[in-house]
This record gives sequence, C-alpha cells and structure tokens, in this order.
Amino acid sequence: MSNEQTENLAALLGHLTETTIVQIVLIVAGTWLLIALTQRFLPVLAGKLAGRNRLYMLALVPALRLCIITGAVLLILQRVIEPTLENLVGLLGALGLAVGFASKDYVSSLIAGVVASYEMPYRPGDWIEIDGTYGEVQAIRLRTVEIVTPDDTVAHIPHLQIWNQTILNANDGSQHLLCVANFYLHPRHNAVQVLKLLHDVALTSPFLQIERPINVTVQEKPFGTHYCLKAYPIDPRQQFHFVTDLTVRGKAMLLQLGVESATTPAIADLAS
Amino acid sequence: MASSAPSDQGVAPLWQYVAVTDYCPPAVTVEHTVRTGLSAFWQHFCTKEPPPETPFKTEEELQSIPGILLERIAPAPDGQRAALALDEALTAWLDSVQMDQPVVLVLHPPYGMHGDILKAWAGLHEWRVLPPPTTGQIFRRETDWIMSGSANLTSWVLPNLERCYLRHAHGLTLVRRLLDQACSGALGRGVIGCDSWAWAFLRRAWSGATPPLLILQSFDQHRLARWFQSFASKSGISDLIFRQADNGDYVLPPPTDTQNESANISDFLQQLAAYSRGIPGIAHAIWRASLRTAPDELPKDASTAKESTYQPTTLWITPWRRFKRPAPTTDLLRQHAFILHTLLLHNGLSAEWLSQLLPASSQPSPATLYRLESAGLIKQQRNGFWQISPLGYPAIRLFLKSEGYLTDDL
Repeated sequence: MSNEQTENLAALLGHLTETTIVQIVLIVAGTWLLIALTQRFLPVLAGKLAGRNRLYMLALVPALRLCIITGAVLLILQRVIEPTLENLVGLLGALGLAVGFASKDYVSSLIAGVVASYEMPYRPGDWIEIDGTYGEVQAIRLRTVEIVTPDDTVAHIPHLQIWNQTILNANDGSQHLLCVANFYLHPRHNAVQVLKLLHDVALTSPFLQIERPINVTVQEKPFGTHYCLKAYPIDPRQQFHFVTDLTVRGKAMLLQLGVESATTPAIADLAS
Repeated sequence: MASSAPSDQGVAPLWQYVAVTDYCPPAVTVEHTVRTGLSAFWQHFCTKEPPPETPFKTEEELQSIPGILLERIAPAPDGQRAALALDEALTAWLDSVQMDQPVVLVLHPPYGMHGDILKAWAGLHEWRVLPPPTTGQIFRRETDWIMSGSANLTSWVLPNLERCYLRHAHGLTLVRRLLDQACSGALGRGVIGCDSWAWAFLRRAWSGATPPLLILQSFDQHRLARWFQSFASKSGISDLIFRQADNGDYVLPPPTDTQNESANISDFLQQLAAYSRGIPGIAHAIWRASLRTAPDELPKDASTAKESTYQPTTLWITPWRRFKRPAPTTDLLRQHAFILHTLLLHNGLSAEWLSQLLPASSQPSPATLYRLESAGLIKQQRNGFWQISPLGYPAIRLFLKSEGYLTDDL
C-alpha cells in the first residue's frame, strides 16, 4: 500500500474514536435485538389473528427487517466516514467490488430479496412452486424464501431463483386458490348427468368458497373420459382436504349413479 | 308490499315486514366495537381478572328470577302480532288477481320465529300448512312429496323451507324441483318461510329467479324497549321497574309517577340491539338471562297491591359488560367451524344427519357436541336436533364471516 493510499484511508477513518466504536457496537446489537424481536413476536401475534390480517402481519416481518438493517447501515456509515459524496462512493464501490467477487450468488440472492420485497412474486401465506418445490410461504428472509411443503418439510429457496426460474403462485396474495379434482371414467355414461352431479359434489362440500365459481371440464382420452372438477376452498391451507373431500364424495356419488372408473379393460371394451 | 302491524300514530310499528333492501340491523356503537376489540386483544395476552368495582347492587345481593315468574315477565313470544304485520304486508299480493308472482318468500334470521309466524298467518286465512319432507325423503329425492302435499290446493304455506334440503349432492334435487314448480305457479299461490342462512345457500344452489322477498324489520333499542315493556305490562305484576345493577340506571323507561329528573337511562338496550343484530329471538333470550331480582324485592300481583302500601317492584339487569356471553376461543371455533356452519345452514340438525353432511375429517363425536354445548355455542332441542344457541349466535356469525364462510345477508 503506497503512502498516498494510507493517508487517504487515514483521512477517511480519521474521526473514528472509541466512543464511535462503542456506538457502532450498540447499533449492531440493537439491530440484532430488534430483528430477533420482530422475527419472534410478529409471527406469534399473527397466529392470534384470523384471515387476511394474519397474512398482513406476517408480511410485515421482512419489510421491518429491511427497514431496520437499512437504518442501522446508515447510522454506522454516518459515524465511520465523513458523509461526503466522494467518501460514500469510494467506500461503497470498494465494498461492493470485494463482496461481489467473494460471494456473487450470496449477494445476488440478497439483491433478489430486495427486488422480491418490491415486486412481490411471493408473500407470506402464498402457495408457490419454484423449481418443482411446492408449499406455503412461511417467511421471507434476507437471502431465502422459507416454504413448508404439504409433507411438512421446510424448504429454503434462495431468492436468486427469481432471476431465471418461473415462480408459480397459486393464490398471489389472496385467499383464493383453485383446486382441481380429477375423475377418469369409463366412456359409456351420460356426461350431462355426471357434469351436474360433480357440480353438486363441489357445491355441497363444507370446504367450498361458495362465492367463487365452480367449473367442470370434460375431455375424451384414449383410456376414458377425463373430468376436471375445479373449485376454490375457503382457506388455501385446506386445499388438500378439499381435493380429498371432492374425490371421496365424487367417487361415492358416481358409483351410486352406476358410472364406472376408466380402467385398462375399458380400452379393450372399446376396441371390441 | 312491505308493511306493518297496527301501531300508535307517529311511532314506528313494533312488528314490520320490509323488503330485504330496506332491512337495516342496528348499528354497532363505536364504544362497543372498541371495547370488544380491546377486550378480545387483552384476552389473547392476559389472563388476569380486571380490578373489582363497587356496584349499585352486588351480584351476591341478587338472584335469578324463578322460572314461573320469568314466564310472566318475559314470556316466550308468540307469532300472532307478527302474523298481523305479515298479513298487512301481503295485502296487495293477496288482492292481486295476476299470477305473475305466485310465491312470496319470507326470510327470517335464526331465532326469527318464522315457523310460528307463518303458521299463525296461515291460520288467519285458513291456508294449508305444508309439513316439510322427512330427511329420508330429501335424501331419496322423493319429489312426489311436493304434489302429495299440495294436491287439490291452490293456497298453501310452507313455513320452513330450510327443512326441505340437505347440503349433500343428493339433498338439492327436491328443493330445486319445489322452487321451480312453486315459482312457475304450478302449485298455486304460496307463502314460503325460510331461514336466512339456508336461503343464502339455496339462492346459489338454485338458478331460478328470486321471488319477492319480505323480512321482519330488525329490533332497535326503541322497539326492544316497547316489546319488553309490553311483556311487563301484561304480566299482571304491579309497577315493574327495570334498572341496571351496577349503577341503578333505568333500562326501561320508569313509570311516570316514579320518574325523577336525575334518572339516567341505561345504554343496555342499545348494546343488546347491536349485539343481537336486532333479531328478536336472540335479544329476548339475552333479556331473560340478564334479569335478576333481590330476595327482599319480590314482585307483587297487581290485584294484591294496595295503594296505601304502593311500592314499585324493581328488577335488576346484569350490566352489559358483566353479562356472561359465550366467549369461545378462536381455536375452538376454527376447529369446529364446519359443525357450526352446517348447523346454521340447516337451522339445526340431528347428530346422525350432521355426520352425513360433514367430511370424514370433521365428524362430530358426541364428546365434540357436548364440548360445544358446554361452551354455550350449541344446544339440543327437545326433538334431538342440535342448534346454535341464541347467546352463541352473534359470536359464531362474526367468526364465520371473518373467516370467509358463507353467511346470511342480514
């Protein structure tokens, strides 16, 4: 390091006294404490609330953390260097270059996390699928999004996935999540009757969000007739119970109607 | 079509049927909203009892009113007066010779007494009252029940449409056929009574045009005061005074000869009207539960009271904030939301049919039902049907609405 560089650095950090160092330590400790408190108590508070309020409260956690960290960095910078434009540009440029080389993906995830906070491709409470992993967003951390899969497994997915992966969001911040129950039936049946029956199966499910539409679509396949019963549950968290209920009751009703499921012999029947 | 029962000039009638668009439940006061919100918030984080206050009459000094006396002071309402109001509301429809509106639908919220009212109205005109089909008939889709019930008839009353369907894939055929035939005029002229929750579901399950709707106007604090006062007047007990136990405020206006300028009027009825959403049956149940008397102030019969020893009888009302309403936890409500919702949609069901309508994951065991009963949320009727309790209804409705369940429009 040349004398000139040493002098520049000394000038930059010239007013760094013991008091300033203590202040910085306190700021870091306070920041850590505030973040820990928000991460611990806001989810507990959210658990006491119902419906959308719970989602709003959960969404506050990453936003508050970002605010706290930004505030802390500004406070520290104010104490470490003289807040002139030259100093700031110099410091941040050097910092960015060093960190960028050292941990490109890590920083990329951090930046993607900031972008995710702004663009909101997912929010806490959303049901998303990223690269084949499906689950409910529990928390949005600085570097990762934490989702819980239907098998109760927590998956931490780096935010940088938003740069080049398709993010599938099933409810996109709302309570409305479309569920689909599939029925594969033997082709010899009265399709109109089955359409009405499946519609009523959905209509009479206690899980149904009745204010949303119910749709039944039909497609003829080589092995039989494929019915898709599409409806919305009251709570997205009930989606698997809802599909199960539709399937169980739908099958029972179809059996009572005398409609058989599509099976391999059905193809043989058709061929003969 | 909307109208009312005979009343004093210049005063809103006690019983009044209006179009659904004119129905207005009593507004919840800001104080009540803030107090309820704060107390719910407080309950989540604190289990400490609030500090004691010095009441006008302590709870130890008061006792429940004996059953026989209660039946005189706040008897179970009959549907006669409401039937007269309904009759007036239906006059134009009855006089009409056109058959473009063969059916009128009369909606009532839970505990709106619609069964009694419609039967009383049918009695006024000697129209045939159609009994509902059995649950077995509904389930088996025995649509000939409709024709067998109304054969050779041109005028009929079906008091309980909610008893004609089940929320099951096999439980809708019969009611759809009934509504189709009734609204087409094939069954002659009819008046159908329906629970508001059942209708909220049926109007989504049936695609026909909605017939003219009538509803009993909600009871605000003024109506409640007149209603409760009319019970007291007919009780045969000499001057009754209703005062709030904690501060002595008058809940019902005192008799003119006992009135003094310093008498404060309690806001109990305002709170009651808002909490019960103006539903007379629910307000009446809470009113009965809040009545107390002091052992040394036993009510006297008007016939035995002498003018020389005249002393009005005071009945004490439990203050609104001390009145014990069911306060279920959110967890309990969330866990059993399907049971509560299904009971509301059918205005009560037997345990057997409740099991048929619920998914396997929410089957109601006897223990579950008794747990909900002990929490004050449901009660069992004499016919074995489980029904939402009148005191639990407001809390349950509020919860179901906040969770996005289908609720009535009232």
